[in-house]
Amino acid sequence: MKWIKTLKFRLMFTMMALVLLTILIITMSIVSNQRQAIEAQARQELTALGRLLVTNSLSSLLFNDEESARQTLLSLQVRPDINRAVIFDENARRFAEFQDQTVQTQIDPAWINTVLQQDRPQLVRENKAGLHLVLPMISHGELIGALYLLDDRTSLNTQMTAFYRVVTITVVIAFFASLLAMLWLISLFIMPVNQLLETIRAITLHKDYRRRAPAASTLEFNQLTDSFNQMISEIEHRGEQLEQANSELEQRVKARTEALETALALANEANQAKAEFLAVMSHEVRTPLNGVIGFAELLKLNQLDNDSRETVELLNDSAQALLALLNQILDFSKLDADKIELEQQGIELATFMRSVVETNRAKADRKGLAMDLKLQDSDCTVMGDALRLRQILNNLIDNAIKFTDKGRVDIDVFTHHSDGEDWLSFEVSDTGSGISPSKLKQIFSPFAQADSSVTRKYGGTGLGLAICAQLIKLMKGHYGVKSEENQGSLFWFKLPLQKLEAPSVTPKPLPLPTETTAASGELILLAEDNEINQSVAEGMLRNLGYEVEIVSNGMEAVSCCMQHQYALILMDYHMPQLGGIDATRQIRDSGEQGPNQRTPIVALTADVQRHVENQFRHAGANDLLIKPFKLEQLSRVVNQWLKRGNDNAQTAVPVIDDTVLEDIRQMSGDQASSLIGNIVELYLQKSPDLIADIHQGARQGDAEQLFRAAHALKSSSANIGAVRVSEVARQLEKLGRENLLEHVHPHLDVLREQYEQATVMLKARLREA
Amino acid sequence: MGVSGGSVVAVAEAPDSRSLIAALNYNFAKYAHWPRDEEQQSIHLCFFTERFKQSFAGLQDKAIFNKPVKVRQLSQIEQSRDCHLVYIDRSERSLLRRLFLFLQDKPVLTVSDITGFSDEGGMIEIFRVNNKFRFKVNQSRIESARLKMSSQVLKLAVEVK
Repeated sequence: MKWIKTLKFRLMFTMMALVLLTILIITMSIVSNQRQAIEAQARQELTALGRLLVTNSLSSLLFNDEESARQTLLSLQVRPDINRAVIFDENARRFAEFQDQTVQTQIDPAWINTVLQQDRPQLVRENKAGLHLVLPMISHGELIGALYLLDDRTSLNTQMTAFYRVVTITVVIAFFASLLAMLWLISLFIMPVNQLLETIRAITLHKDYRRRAPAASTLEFNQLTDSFNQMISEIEHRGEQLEQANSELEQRVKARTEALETALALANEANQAKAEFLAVMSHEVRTPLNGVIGFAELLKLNQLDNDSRETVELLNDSAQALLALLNQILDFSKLDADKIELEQQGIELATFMRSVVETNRAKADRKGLAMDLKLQDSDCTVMGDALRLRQILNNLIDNAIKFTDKGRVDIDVFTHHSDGEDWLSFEVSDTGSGISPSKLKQIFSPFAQADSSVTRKYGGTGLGLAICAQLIKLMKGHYGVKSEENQGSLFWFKLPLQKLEAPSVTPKPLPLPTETTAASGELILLAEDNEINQSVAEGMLRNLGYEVEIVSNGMEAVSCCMQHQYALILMDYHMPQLGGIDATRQIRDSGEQGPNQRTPIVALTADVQRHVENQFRHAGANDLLIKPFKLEQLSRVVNQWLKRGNDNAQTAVPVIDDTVLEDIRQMSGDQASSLIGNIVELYLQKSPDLIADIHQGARQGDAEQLFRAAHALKSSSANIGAVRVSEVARQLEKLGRENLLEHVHPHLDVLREQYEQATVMLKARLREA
Repeated sequence: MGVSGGSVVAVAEAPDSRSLIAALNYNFAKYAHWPRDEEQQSIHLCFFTERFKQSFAGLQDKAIFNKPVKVRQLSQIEQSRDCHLVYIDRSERSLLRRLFLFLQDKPVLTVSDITGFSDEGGMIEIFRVNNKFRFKVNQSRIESARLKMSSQVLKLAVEVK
């Protein structure tokens, strides 16, 4: 149907329609005009003939001579279209008649009577049979009869047919003549337009702006093609200009890019240099600090008189304060330079929070402050950077303790839903001095403390909250503070809650401070170039009961490792000849025959940048200890890797928490003994079924069953004080709820073991009761 | 030129026959032309016999070429001088010779139903055939009287001489 839209068709169609319309109108008017003329003429002729007949037959009628009248009428034979002629006398009686035998017609007597009675000059009627004419026959004013004539219009029709033929032929000729004229006319329009279109198409297709449209013979089209050609040459010209401008621009862009690249490289170099400087500074400052702190710690272990002990304490505190200060300044400068990268790891929230609070409890205890942790709906594992979260919480809790003289510090953790997101909120509230509204605004700005007097009184850099605020922002969280002077403050922050479905690698709970009792005398290799640090670490390790072998660079460390097997290797980061990371890698790559292929390696570094730890871990280090470290920290790490920490942790929690049973005993008074007996017996009766259910659920993959049984066991065990069984049941319950049955089997063994211990002890308690 | 009265069929006896004859005379007058027609004020149709008086009276004041028709009954032959047409019925056969003599050079159309009238010097002779009136015309006599009869009449005549 595309051809309907072409100009050719539309022009043709419109013009031919016009031509046809014109021809039709003209033909119709001519035909109708002609028909009227012919009919009028026929009528006239018929009337004239009638008049003649009347004249010629008047005497015949007068003298009653029918024969003569008939003779007269017979003369009509020469006129084939006169079909019938009748003469009536004055009484409407037929006097004489002529009739063409082939046609039978009826004469309406009313017509004759009309003429005879009304004395009309003539009467003409027309019907299917033809044209009827009735003429009165008058002799000297006397009506003596009437003449009737019938014209069957044969000649009229013949005439009309001939006329129609002529008209039809004329119309056909006119139509085809105009068609030819139109084709010529259209070619006059279409040809140049098509030529122009062809040129445009060629230009568009080949992008060749040198083409020109050919000249047309018609003046207007010639102007059109001329204009088009001008336009194209203009475009060609512009295109050339544009190309030129483009190449110039390209050159300029290239030049600029080069300049920018140079500048960027310079800036990067400068930045790199800054980062290097930071790292080096951090290392350089930490190393002497390490010495100060280490020796102070060692001094404390000696038998000192009170004055000296106090001096050593003060020395240690000052060094610790300096370290904290240094850490804060480094953190702040890194945050400022966007150097901090957050880690994403699973944090088991309840355990994590307990450990944070416990770390700070000592300080609160010293000031006589109560400290409570409220965990609400927080029994879950979340994604986050545990190190930084701990830093923020420590800072807030530390501040709260610092600015509170009496009363309490409370830590609330809860999840909630707002603004279409799930949030994990932390609140640290105290009953301290509070902050005046004027200071409240800039409390999170760097170097802002409540008052300069505060700084004098409490110390600190004033960077702590600023660092917290930046870290929270980095974690896409929000923070704020509510405070009233002399009433207390409430610092809060919330982070987007990202629950971790799979069981996380539980961060190891910070164990209680370890006793510095003598260990088994295992051999530890210490690779450290700084002599002070060597002495400090050696002192500490020996104090912990280990034998120490010291090397002062990576090369020596590697060669020692090829010869002896060590229980643990402590590896410094910055060392001459061979750095700690490369040494670690070589020890790990020493192959199966290497004696220290599986020996735990703990990296030592003063560089707190994340990539250092990552590099160490990549090289094969198992853990990292940031210098300077306290005896306590070193002890924890070393014991952990030498399997001491676990034992310590386990023994820390009793199999049976007697306080629970004791509480019941106190509450129930006289019947206490029998009540406790009943409770314990009931537990011993029911719990084997629950444990059987747990095993069955694990065997059959029925997480629901496992979850229910573990939940029941968890609560009933907690109720009678079987805390270890309860804890294992809690872990099983969690795995059951999260449908992670593939992880339950190690827990099942632990459960059996712990349950057996618990039953033995409970039966003993029963006997005592 | 004598026409015997015994051979004539007594058709003129019936009164409607007489009015038909009168009408015939009137019709002949319509197709006749007299010398100096235009000067005439009226057309005079004359007859003799009393019996035709009533029949001719019906023609009184009819018109021929817009001239009124006057009817006169003659008693004397000389009275026919001013007539345009004179009808003599068979009962006046005796007047014929004197009438012809008197009208010899006068432009008066003579009509009669006397048998042989045209042969004897009359101009139009009426007779009956098959119960219909027919007529003979003596054209030479009409021409000599300086009269003219229309061809329309002559073509109807049974005989013209």
